[in-house]
Amino acid sequence: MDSSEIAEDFRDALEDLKSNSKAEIDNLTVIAKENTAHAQALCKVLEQHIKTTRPEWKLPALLVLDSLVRHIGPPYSTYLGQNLFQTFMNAYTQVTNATRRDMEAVFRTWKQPRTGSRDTSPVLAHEITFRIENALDKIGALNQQPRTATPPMPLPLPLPPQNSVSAAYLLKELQSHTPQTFTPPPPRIFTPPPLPQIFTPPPQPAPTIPTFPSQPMAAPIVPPSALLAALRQAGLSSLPVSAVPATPAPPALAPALLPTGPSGISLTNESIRVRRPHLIAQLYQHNPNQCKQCGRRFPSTTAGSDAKLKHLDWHFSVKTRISDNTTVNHRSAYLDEIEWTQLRESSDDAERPLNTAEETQKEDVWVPMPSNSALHNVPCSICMEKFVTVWHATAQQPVWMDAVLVGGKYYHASCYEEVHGGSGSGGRGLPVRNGGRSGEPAFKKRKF
Amino acid sequence: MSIPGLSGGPPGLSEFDPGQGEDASPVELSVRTHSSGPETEYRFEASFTSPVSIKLLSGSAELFGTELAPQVAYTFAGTKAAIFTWDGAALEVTGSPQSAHGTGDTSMNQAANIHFALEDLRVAAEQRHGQGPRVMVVGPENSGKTSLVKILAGYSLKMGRQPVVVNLDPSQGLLSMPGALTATTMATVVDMEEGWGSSPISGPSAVPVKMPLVFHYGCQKAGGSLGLYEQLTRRLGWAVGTRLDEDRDAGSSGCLIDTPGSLAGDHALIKRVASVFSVDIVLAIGPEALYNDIKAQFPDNVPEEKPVHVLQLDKSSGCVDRTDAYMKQFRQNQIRQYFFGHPGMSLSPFTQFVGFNEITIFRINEDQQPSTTDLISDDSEDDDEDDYEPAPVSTAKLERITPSLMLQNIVLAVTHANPTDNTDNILASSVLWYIYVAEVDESKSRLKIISPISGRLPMKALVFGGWPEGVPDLAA
Repeated sequence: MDSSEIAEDFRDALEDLKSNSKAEIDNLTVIAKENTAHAQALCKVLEQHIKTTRPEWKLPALLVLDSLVRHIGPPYSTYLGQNLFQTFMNAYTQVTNATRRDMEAVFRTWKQPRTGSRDTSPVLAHEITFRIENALDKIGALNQQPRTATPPMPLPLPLPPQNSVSAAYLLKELQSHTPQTFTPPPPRIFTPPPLPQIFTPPPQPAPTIPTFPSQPMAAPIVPPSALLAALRQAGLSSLPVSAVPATPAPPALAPALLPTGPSGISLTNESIRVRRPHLIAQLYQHNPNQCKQCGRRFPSTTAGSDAKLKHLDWHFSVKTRISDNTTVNHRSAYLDEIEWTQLRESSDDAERPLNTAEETQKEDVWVPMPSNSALHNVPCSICMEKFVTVWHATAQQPVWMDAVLVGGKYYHASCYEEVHGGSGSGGRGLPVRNGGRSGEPAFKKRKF
Repeated sequence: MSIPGLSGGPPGLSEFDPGQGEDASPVELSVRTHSSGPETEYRFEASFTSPVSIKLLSGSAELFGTELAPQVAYTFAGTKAAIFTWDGAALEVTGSPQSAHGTGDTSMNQAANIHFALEDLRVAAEQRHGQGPRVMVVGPENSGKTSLVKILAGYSLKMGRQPVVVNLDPSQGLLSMPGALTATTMATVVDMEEGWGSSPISGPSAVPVKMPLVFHYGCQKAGGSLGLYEQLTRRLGWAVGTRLDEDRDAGSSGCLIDTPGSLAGDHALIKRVASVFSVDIVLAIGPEALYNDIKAQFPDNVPEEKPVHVLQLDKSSGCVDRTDAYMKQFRQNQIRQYFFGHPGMSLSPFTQFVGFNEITIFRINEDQQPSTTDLISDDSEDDDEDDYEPAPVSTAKLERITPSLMLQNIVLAVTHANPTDNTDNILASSVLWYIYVAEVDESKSRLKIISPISGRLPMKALVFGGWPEGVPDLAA
């Protein structure tokens, strides 16, 4: 049997892999192990599969990769290591955050020695892992960056390069490494690991089998034994049936897209054509308490009345602001990708000003950007640096973050605090808008 | 249908049958009362120049899923719309619609059923802290895709949801310019009079503003510059996926994707776009053949695949063909509104002069249509049953251009990318804001531009895609 046939079968098997089924992954590992002569072709198929499969199926495929490099090692680790940065990071950018955590967990184990092996060298060589580690670090740095002084959604001002790690960065990074040639590694002696090891689950921080909240899917219907049987038929595997672990219970059934719900509508062409007048009340009569200004409805409960009161307050405050607004308005800038993904909408009956502990901390101190455009470039009167303008989602206007207005002059809150408020631990002297922050070191803004 | 001031001809293309409704023929500028029975709708067309004002006197009524407040006069210009009532309503119509009639022949039951089916999925998603339904609407031009998306969005807002609305149709903008592909999380009521509403402005707004994520595609047709459309779609899909994943409210609400009519003819592209957004449900509006073709892309006899439900919806009899002239006026209106606002929310952009040497303008070259063989990946062993073959790599090219008279009256996208970035980054960069080139002064080597933001133009890459077409009298 030549490489292309085996590779073809391997790809078919990969395409059937739609969950983190250990049995299926182990089967694929066994197949790969028995066909080390065709390792190069199989690796290419696996890489291609990880690259092109749907995001929700990337993790199972990566677990196959993990299994090959962990349980078989060379030559698979050599072949797969060559393009691992692209393979891993490409997938990483496309999957959900939960999956990213899982991928990170898997990645961490690659830097450690094989479990149950006397060899202390890591699963994958440092030269292979460090680039991924670097890239993940940079993203991690972005995620964990204390955002106390930075606004929740900074206007897309040019960020210093170390901050601008983003999808764009990753993309660039990927693009700069894309053209890869598949050079065969120097021949190595293949020492098969003891067979039982293949079937012991890695006791290391095993990749938690994630449930895919975003991607409900049905349990795999094809039992792994059937898959193996098919492969055996194809002459691919000489594994005795008994070695195949008993078909595991299918992974907990993720709640699939239910065909019918409380409404009694199923997603069929017939069902959506049935007239259901009784449902319409949910849009109208269930919420009889209507805002006379915009038509929005609220339930006739105490909570509904409260929400309506807040909503009316919002109408009032907007009207007041519109009539008080003597200056002209203009369109604001759009956000960039990262800022937009971090944006959270607030409904117009939301609490205003923000008063939850978490948000007060995040929101910090701000003043509305002066509407007089002559003042737009006014710097802090203490450090003479300009203010950071951001769109404030709750206030619905552009604001200067970390700023205070005292006696007609604008200051950085931290500068003002430092000069007038003593040590900065209490921030007593700080006239703040939204409760301000306390205990925040006041030195970050000053540059001497 | 005719646009006053452009042709003056009879409303030949209008699908409205004047004999059908109570308010049969177009009326003179006047105040009339129209009473609609339960589950009927009042269809009207208001021209750009002669607005129509409609007030709900009694009962309840909604415009594309957004309920009218009682006794509030809403003014419509350049609008073709229908006011539907579930329980019956009396409307007061002021002004002279180009055409208007009432009818009970609507497809609202289908829309409502879809909504409640989606709502079931959202409730389930909420309970398991999972993701709500991701819905894509596909259909030919003028089949009511945007209206359906609006109805579904409006209903879900009524139920307290925050769906992400994605517009993949470059021929009309959503909270932005024509030529843009956007995603917006809707958390507040959709503007009755102005399409969806307004993107953020520097001051207060009576209808809450909505923040879109904007990519500038700069071509009219979805396939115009082949790879670029998919490249931007993937970027948008990444951002939407991340947002849905991290934003609990939006995540359980899911997303609603509007698509261009041309997509209905490219089934493989439908499948790829659906995969980018992890779509659960495809709503195919219109002919059964289209439904069958799309259905074939998502076979449901693959048990272990995430099911993609394909549903066929009837095209509403209220759909009217929008002529090129109307669409052009619609776009120019959209561009004007970006800079100058709309009635009730006027904006003043800033006029400034910039030297040719202060800016870097790139032109997207869509002429270089790649041959089909370039598009197919070199993995020739990929046979047709490989559904997830890599999407074609963008072959769009960026060319740095010196300002010339060609730019006059054109809208340029100020991207987030730096002029020194590589061209792929610039092409795939989201938009900061748009500027309008009011004048190109070649002798003084400077441009007169209109910008919504004051101050110096940031050192960002400006992108010009050749679409939308120029608006000659914007500054006038």
